Amino acid sequence: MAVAVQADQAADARAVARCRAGQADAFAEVVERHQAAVYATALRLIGDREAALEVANTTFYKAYRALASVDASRPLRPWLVRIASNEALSYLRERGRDARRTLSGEAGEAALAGLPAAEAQPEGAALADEQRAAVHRALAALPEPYRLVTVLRYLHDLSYAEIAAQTGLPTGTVGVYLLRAREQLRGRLAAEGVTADALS
Amino acid sequence: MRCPDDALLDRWLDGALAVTETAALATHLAECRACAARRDARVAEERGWRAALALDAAELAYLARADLAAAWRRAAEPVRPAYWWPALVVMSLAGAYAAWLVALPALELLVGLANRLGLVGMALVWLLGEGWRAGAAVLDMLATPPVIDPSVLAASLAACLWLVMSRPWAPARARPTETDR
Repeated sequence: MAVAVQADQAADARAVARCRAGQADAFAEVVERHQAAVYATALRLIGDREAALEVANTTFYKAYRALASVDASRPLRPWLVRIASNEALSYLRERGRDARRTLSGEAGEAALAGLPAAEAQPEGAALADEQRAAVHRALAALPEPYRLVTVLRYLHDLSYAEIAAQTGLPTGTVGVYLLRAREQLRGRLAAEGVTADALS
Repeated sequence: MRCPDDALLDRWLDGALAVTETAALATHLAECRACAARRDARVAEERGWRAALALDAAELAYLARADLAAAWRRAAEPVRPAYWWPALVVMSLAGAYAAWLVALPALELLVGLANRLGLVGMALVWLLGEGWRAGAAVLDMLATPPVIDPSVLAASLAACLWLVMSRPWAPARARPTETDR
């Protein structure tokens, strides 16, 4: 695992050097290597595939424009995830403003938490999908700061210190946010009848 | 050590406890079956959350279809040099040369005819004459400026003065209302 991360980091450094030398195509390698992490971050924070794709695109464009100033000796992924998180939160704030202008009450909440309907699938797969969807709904219902630390902790497996570095929050605050986020997640999942056993 | 509460257990799983606390809790979990079961349930729960947050096959397929790297791969395509404008220049030169070759005999014939009739000489004489006349007229005007009738001059000055004072082109001012006052 650590070897793979180091190989990725070395490949990123080479790609950044090539980009700085004017070879824009080298950035395609960076995008291919990190697009899943960036897209997943945006998707779990926003909950909408197309919007997450848009955010991921914006993230890579912003990263490309800022390549001249990035420290290529450090891993690119945390930097990209930070840009993606900020972009996703900006998108949510914009959408929140738009939704408040156009929707209100239950209709607005339903639109914001809207998730695609499950397609016809075998029973086991449908059950697993329903449990995943329940987690996504519970995550979407969290306040933004709690959702962000949850995504960074459980999607990217970051430590408190790394989350603090990503978000600019004090380490203690990260711990408190995670504690509350977990309480709310458990509460919402229990209300939907999803248990720890079912998830694992 | 007493049984840890949920928050302490979560922080232990997050690796956020101090070394001494971690060691003490590990010792307790090795001895307390109930707490070990709670730990196992939490580990399973977090594994479930991680699995739920990771991209599933459909989401990965959607991302692959979107092909985010395409824009940068396109940037790598070699820019083909524009051959059309040098080709246009070459073709224009060739066309002009061909036209010249075709028109040359006719032109030679025309020039020869004009020479024979004295038309070229006549045209040159006419041009020189007209230029001479125009130059002489300008020199005459400079030497003897036209005399202007004083009454006409006075009338013109009066008209200019009236125009400047009355400014008929300026928009009419709105009358101030009570509130303006």
